[in-house]
Amino acid sequence: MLSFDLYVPRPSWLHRRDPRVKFLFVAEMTILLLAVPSLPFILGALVLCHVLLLSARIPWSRIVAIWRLMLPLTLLVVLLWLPLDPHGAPVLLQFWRLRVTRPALLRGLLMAARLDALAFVFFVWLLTTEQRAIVRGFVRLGMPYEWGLTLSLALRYLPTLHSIYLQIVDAQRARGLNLNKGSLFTRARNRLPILVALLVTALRSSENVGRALEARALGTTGVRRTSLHELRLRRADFLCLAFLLLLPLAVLALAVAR
Amino acid sequence: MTESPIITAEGVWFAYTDGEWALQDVSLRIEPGEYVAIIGPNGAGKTTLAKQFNGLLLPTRGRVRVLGRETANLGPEKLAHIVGYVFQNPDHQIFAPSTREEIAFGPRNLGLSDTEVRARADEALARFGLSDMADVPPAVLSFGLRRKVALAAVYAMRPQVLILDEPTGGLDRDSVREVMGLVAKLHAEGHTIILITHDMELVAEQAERVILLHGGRVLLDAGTREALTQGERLESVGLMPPQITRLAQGLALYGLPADVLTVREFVAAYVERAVELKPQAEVISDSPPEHQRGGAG
Repeated sequence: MLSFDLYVPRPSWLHRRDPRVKFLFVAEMTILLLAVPSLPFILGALVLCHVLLLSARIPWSRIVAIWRLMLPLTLLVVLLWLPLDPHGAPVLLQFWRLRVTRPALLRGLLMAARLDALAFVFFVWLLTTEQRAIVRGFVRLGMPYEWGLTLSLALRYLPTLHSIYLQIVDAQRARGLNLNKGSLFTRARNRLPILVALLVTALRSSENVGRALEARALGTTGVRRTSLHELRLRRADFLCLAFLLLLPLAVLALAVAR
Repeated sequence: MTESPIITAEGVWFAYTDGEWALQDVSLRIEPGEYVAIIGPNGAGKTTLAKQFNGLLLPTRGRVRVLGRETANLGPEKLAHIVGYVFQNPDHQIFAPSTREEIAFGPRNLGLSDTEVRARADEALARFGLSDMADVPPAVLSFGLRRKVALAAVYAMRPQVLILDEPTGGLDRDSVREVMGLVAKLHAEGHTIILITHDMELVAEQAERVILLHGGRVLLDAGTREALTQGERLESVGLMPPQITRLAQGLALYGLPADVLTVREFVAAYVERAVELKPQAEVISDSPPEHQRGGAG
């Protein structure tokens, strides 16, 4: 059974942080990584993410798994970058019309490292925060409750849909559907019986879930919702917020000093 | 009947990715034309075993052969014309814009000619009483009808073996009668039927042989009468003989046989003995009591 929840439950300081603080970390790091084209900064962000993951007792095997996931993409970015960016000197390699220059190689590496760092920022968030907590944080940040509920329901139904998908594949293969035969177009078309059945089943069950929610009085007007889990910022959360406030200032100061 | 079995399992062990054994050392043979019920509590391995028979799952250890050919060398696609599998939930296979298209899908996958595909679809529509809905999208039909469409769609491939995974779940008594009546007819015409169910009354009425699974092992493989009258054996795994069997066994002191399987048999046995005591017992044989409740679960 495939798990769609990346969350690794551990009793760590990072797991206990308010989901809003962690979301701010993700938002801020995303903006900084996209805005600051400096290899030292990007590598620093990668180191920071690893320190955070290890301090949150995320096992090495998970970190290795993320790298394994990112490696093909990283290589692809570098390899695609080189022929598309023939500018600058010195030229490291000249082959027919392909020109690899040192600045282009550095730029390719920068783009790839930026992608990895962005991925790790999101993994820090998703590996240490329960899906429910993520949604709770969004709702407290102003997302309408119904949207939050929809989001967490969608996440909760992903594994269910996956298992239904596998059953549909079985059912259609048992009717003689061959998924690994023919041209790419034929193969894509052969997926249709699976996708349509999955869609119909998903629509049917979403209607049922909707009715079940209504039957439990979701959307009643004139009622103020209360929460079982109230989010409250603790001292450590404020310390993290202070760090998140200082980080962009420090980056800006370093940039100006250069 | 020929001498060679249609399906054989030889020392089959199977584990899903979690590493737990879902099947343990299962060996059995199914002869052409047999009607076999696979019973057992939830998680006993019934569906896992049935999926070995059409190659959807391959043994981790051991061998499964269909008509003498090992499933490991074939795929479900290549076995589809021999072993048909009707899934528990009809919605897991229904996709086509019309019922006719839905039923034609399997025969078309077999590479049959257009005329043959059309002939088979029409025949299946008629046999399952679906001709009026031929042009209706099957997804909008009632649950009972969707079940019939799923069955008709697999039947149209004319497989020698039909595996039915809980075909009566969610159906009312009348629909159960109708669907299982069609299955009985297929069996009478020579199809091999493998039925997975929790409905003991249904097993008692239709199956010739029962395979009882528990914890991935074959606990019992016997004729239906022998299997379903073993109250203690069944109860040890959370199952029960049909109600009417239990009633007859409860009345064993009064001379009723302990191997009664159906209401009809019960009435016959009762009348036979009651006649000796009370002549007016004929009233009962004139109007057989229809209080047998079944199909639930």
